[in-house]
Amino acid sequence: MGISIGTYLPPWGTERARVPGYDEDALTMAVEAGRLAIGEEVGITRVVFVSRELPLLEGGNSAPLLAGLRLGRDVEVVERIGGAPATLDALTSAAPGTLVIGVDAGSAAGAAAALVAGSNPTSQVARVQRSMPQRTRLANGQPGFNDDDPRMLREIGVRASIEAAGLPGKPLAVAGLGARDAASWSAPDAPALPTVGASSVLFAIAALTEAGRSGLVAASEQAALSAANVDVSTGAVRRHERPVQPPVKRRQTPGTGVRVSLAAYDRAFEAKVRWQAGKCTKCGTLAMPPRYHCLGCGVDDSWEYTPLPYTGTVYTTTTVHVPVPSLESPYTLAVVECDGVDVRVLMHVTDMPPGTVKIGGHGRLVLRRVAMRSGVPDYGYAFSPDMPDKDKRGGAQ
Amino acid sequence: MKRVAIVGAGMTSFGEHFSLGIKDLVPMALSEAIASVDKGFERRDIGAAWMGEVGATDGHAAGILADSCGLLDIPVTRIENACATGQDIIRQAIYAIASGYVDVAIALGADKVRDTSSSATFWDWMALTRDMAWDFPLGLVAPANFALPVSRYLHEAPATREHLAMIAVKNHFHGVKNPKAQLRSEITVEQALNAPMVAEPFGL
Repeated sequence: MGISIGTYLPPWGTERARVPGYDEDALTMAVEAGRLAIGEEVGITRVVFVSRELPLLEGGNSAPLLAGLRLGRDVEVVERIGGAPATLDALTSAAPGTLVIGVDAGSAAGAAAALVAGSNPTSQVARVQRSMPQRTRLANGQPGFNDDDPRMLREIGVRASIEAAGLPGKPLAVAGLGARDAASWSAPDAPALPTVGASSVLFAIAALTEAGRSGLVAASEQAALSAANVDVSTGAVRRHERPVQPPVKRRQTPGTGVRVSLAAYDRAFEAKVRWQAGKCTKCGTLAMPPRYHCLGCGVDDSWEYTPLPYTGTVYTTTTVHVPVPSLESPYTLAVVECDGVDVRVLMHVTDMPPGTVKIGGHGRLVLRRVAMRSGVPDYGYAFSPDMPDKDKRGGAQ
Repeated sequence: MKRVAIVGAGMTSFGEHFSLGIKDLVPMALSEAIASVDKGFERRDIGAAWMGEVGATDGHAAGILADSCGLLDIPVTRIENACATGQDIIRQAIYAIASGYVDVAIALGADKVRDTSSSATFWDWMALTRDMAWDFPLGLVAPANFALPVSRYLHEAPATREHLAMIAVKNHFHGVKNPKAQLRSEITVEQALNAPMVAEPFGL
């Protein structure tokens, strides 16, 4: 009950800032964080996906998001463009059964999700909408204005908004600012945050929950500010934050692009993005992808979807080093045996430098953007090798 | 069933052949095969022909064979069976002769993969050979397709990468003797083992 929080950081970048892998975008990161927040909870009726890097403006992020989160196709999805204040507003106004996900998929990347189950333990204290467009991004997604003057932002942006908000005291954390500014506006011992955008305020609440500190939390973006009281006493946090490693140098080879067949995309979607095999209703034989004719008992057209396990073992693997038009080399492929079932699937290996997995290695199966095809993100599952125990942090599932 | 013999063979050299289309290469190979037959052979004695092609260049393969070689009044059939296409056309010709349906048959395989730019050829080829939703976007290039089972084989069997290198050495050895081979140079096991990696465990 209360708030269940999941956090995800891509394994690439530096200690200061993570960056998404070549196969990650805001949607795959939202799924990583969202799954951790959901855990075993059921009854989720609404998902609010807050980011300034939504993969598509038209064409639909909602269906692959729900499929990756393993939620029903009838769940309402709100795609909200915004930063830290937008995420905090979504959280304070969330009815029970709402999953709020904030994602930053540019520089300083990360995702965090909060599931409100039972009564909402956050309450809005202040909201100030002022205009301070020091940095703009245009409707086509391209950068517009960028006036990098931190002092101007601090004085007529953040300071003026905090004063206008009339906060009852210094917040325990101010999300959305760089580390130095955040520290100067916060009460002592404010948590260090890995991001400054939509996910940052949920990272702040996650850290306060772990520290058992209830109180005022603020979220800032340019001159917009929201603040809320957060009762963390009933909260829980699950993190998936692998140790950081430098991004792998990959060579992008020019090409004509990977084209999409929408009919094939549609036929594969339920199996590929919801990670379900076809199960023969007569003999139980699994097929991935599903088959018309059962190879186990020979019956025709008699199968139903059944969930596949999200863990597996490498049956065989190879790393492609040569340039491949429209792809980035090197990359590692693996045929993965799903744990406990007689199903093998070909997939990319992710989250580790190419060529580092071995036959017999164990790992998780995670939603990734397998390819960009004619402007369509193609989502599917990839193999994420388990970390050695000493490097583990939090409860990855 | 009648017994069947291969009585003639011909081929073009292997290469990019930018200046030659498939309608040039196919008749070149067939004319050489006819000329190679001991004590002579008439083209009109051909009773049926099979054309093996994995891709498609300049039109339907069976029609290209019939038109470019003047085989207009006999059954002509195109076969595609991935990398086993060449063997499969020979099998079809054997069936036809052994069953008594014809006395002489032609099995001719050709592919012209360099008529589009290399950046486009790859995905055109992949679209022919991979499942559009499941394998196509993953970049399962042909070397990787074979590297996956071979990696597993090396894992299960006592064979090693040195054994793979010995196969490459043997293939190069035979290539030297063939004036139409693409690569006509001998290599050593050490060279094969140290070659730049294409798709592990296969080097260049």
